[in-house]
Amino acid sequence: INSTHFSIDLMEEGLQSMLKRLLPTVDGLQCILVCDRDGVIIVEVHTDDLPPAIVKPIFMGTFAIASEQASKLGVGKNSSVISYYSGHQVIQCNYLPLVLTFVAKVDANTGMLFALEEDLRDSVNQLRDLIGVS
Amino acid sequence: MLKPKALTRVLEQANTGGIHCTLLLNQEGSLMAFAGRSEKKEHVTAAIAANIWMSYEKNSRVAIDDKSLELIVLNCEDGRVLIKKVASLLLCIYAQSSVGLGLLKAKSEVLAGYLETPLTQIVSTT
Repeated sequence: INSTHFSIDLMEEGLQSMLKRLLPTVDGLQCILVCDRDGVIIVEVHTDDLPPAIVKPIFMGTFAIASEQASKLGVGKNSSVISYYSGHQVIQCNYLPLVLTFVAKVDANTGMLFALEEDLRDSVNQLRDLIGVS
Repeated sequence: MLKPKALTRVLEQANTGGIHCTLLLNQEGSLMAFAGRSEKKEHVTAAIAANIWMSYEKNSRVAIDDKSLELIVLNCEDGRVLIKKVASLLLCIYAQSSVGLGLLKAKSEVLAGYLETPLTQIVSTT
């Protein structure tokens, strides 16, 4: 158990550095975070202009239930949800029990944000597998 | 007065290029109009889509200063579903995965723009 926890800590540190490195690569990207299904943050990086309330668990935790319901719409399992607001867009990707979230300004390039998701896929999957084992 | 056939014909115009069907529903999940390939599950779809919208709208009020949820896109293995607010109703569009996100958004904006004024008038008189 101790070695698994040590591995999870190392994994989180590695992921945190990777998120820090990727954050400035897309114009308008304000936050990248990994949280659990209830919205509790595991790893997070953000810019100074991010409204702090966006990363509240009550909002981040919406995805898990919405994703499960979306999987019943008859178009297969839900992989991500994009929600657009007047000033922001929030992309949440299904790695349940983990959720990978990008918060960006509404005019940020959504395609590039999904490209970032591909870059992070292996690392988030590894973290998910580690957490599943512990 | 709302002309159901005319409304269905308007919604049908979106059903090209990989878009399966278009629904108009109220925020309680009741189906108002439907255009496309019927699989007899439209009422279930309407209820689920409305529920997802309401969850995001309610929970984002405390989190996002913008206060207005405008659009949700659900990306799934076999397709995409877009939900957009029109007047006080919801427009829901089902598309294949091959339909680009930009095109889907553009279609929804044109359709919503066209329906906004007449639906607002109807909602305000009821």
